[in-house]
Amino acid sequence: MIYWISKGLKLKGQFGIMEYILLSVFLIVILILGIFMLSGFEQLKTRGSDSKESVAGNILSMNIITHSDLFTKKDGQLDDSKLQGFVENSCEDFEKTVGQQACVEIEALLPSAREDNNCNAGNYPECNKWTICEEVCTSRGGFRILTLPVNIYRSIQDRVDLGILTFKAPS
Amino acid sequence: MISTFEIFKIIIGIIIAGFFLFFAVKFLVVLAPQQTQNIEVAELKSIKNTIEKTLVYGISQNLTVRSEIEYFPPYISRKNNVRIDGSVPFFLNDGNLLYVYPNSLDLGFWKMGWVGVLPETKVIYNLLTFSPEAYKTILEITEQFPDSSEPSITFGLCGGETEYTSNTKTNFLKPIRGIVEANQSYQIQGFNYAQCTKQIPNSIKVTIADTEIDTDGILVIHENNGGKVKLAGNKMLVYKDGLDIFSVILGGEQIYNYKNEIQFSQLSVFLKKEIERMDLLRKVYSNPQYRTPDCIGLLATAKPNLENLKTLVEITAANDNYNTKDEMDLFGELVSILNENYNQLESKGCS
Repeated sequence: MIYWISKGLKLKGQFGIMEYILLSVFLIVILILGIFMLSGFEQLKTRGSDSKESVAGNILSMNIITHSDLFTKKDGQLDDSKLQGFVENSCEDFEKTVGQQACVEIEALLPSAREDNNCNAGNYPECNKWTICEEVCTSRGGFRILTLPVNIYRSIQDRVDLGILTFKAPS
Repeated sequence: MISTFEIFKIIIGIIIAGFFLFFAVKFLVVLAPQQTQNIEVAELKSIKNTIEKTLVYGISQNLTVRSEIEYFPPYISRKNNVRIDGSVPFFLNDGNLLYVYPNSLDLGFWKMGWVGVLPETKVIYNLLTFSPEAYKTILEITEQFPDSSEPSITFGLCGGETEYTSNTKTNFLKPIRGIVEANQSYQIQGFNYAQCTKQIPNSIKVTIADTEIDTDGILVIHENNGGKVKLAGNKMLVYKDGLDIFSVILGGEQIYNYKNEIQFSQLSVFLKKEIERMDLLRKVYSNPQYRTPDCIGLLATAKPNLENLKTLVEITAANDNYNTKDEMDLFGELVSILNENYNQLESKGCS
């Protein structure tokens, strides 16, 4: 009888220890999962805020183009003769002005022109598309692309055209 | 007597409690200060965004600041590595309630936008002469400040023990603008054109004189188209526009250098591009399809002046020669000539 009681107690004690070990393992697993989840949230938050900052930087650069005397006739109105100066070999100056590496395409939307006519030294002013820092557009893979409607002053024709500015920043 | 199971329970309990305690302590020691810093960085980044947006959207606004700002352009906090974009010139004075406003340095043919960030400010001018140039200097300096009542930015005149203060920039500038436009010496009745002896707390004192004198605060010695600014410590700097004096008022020689570095760097790129543009327009106007003889002549006249100014600007930028009076006088002359050229080009529809 005593033998069976002591054996029963011993077994109960062993089950108890097993229960506690299992409980401890579960607690530790939950804790570790919690830590991973928290650090994961932190990482997501940081990535989100970095992306938000990068978009804000791109918007700033795009707005600098539409407000700087380097590109505009007056505030918010791009000057085509000034844009023409940035079409070839001006990446360094452009980067210095807008504060980052980017490729910009400005297209005048002419009812008469059905196709893009890229501006170069030979065909200005009979053209409707200016690409600044084309090498950035062609050399890099992924881009964050923003577009903005703009007014383009055609200095030779003395008229204002409606256009689209496309800002491509390497992501 | 304690059984083995009881001892085991105690040990497991201690391990689990220690585990929790370890993370709680780690959170308090590492994460809590980091969280505080994150809040500070978030606020500084929000200030950064406001400053940058102000330049392009042109809207003034108030900011309540709890974090510590360290103005070391382009940084607003070197500790937290928060900096303003290099293409946005900004001038800042620290405070709890700040007014962020857009302004520009206008040379006529070229304009550089900048952002001012100011707390409650009181500027007191100590006028020692009543020449139109002295009033013009006051006008030029005051134009750099915003018209703000919250935080209040006020201006006044002081002479001897007399102080006249206006509650707004507009009210202060109204009579001064009249004097400058009339271009005649004007003596304000009952005002003492002598050194200010009155103690005016929490104010920036700017003395305007035509010769060098001993004074506390900032001394502006006006000459034709510019002059010199004397800082506390007897350091003398050459000024060519109101923004030079404003930058000295806000941050002494360091901010004066910052303003000139950014101005000459941006102007240099602009001039380079304008020279190329003049060539392009000349080429286009020489085409019989677009022929306008007036334009070809005017563009040919403007180009060498642009080249001269570009050379001067590049030399000045390379050698930090903003503080040389002769070179800055030459700069002023070339700017005036180019303004005439651009006015003619504009009136003939050539640019």
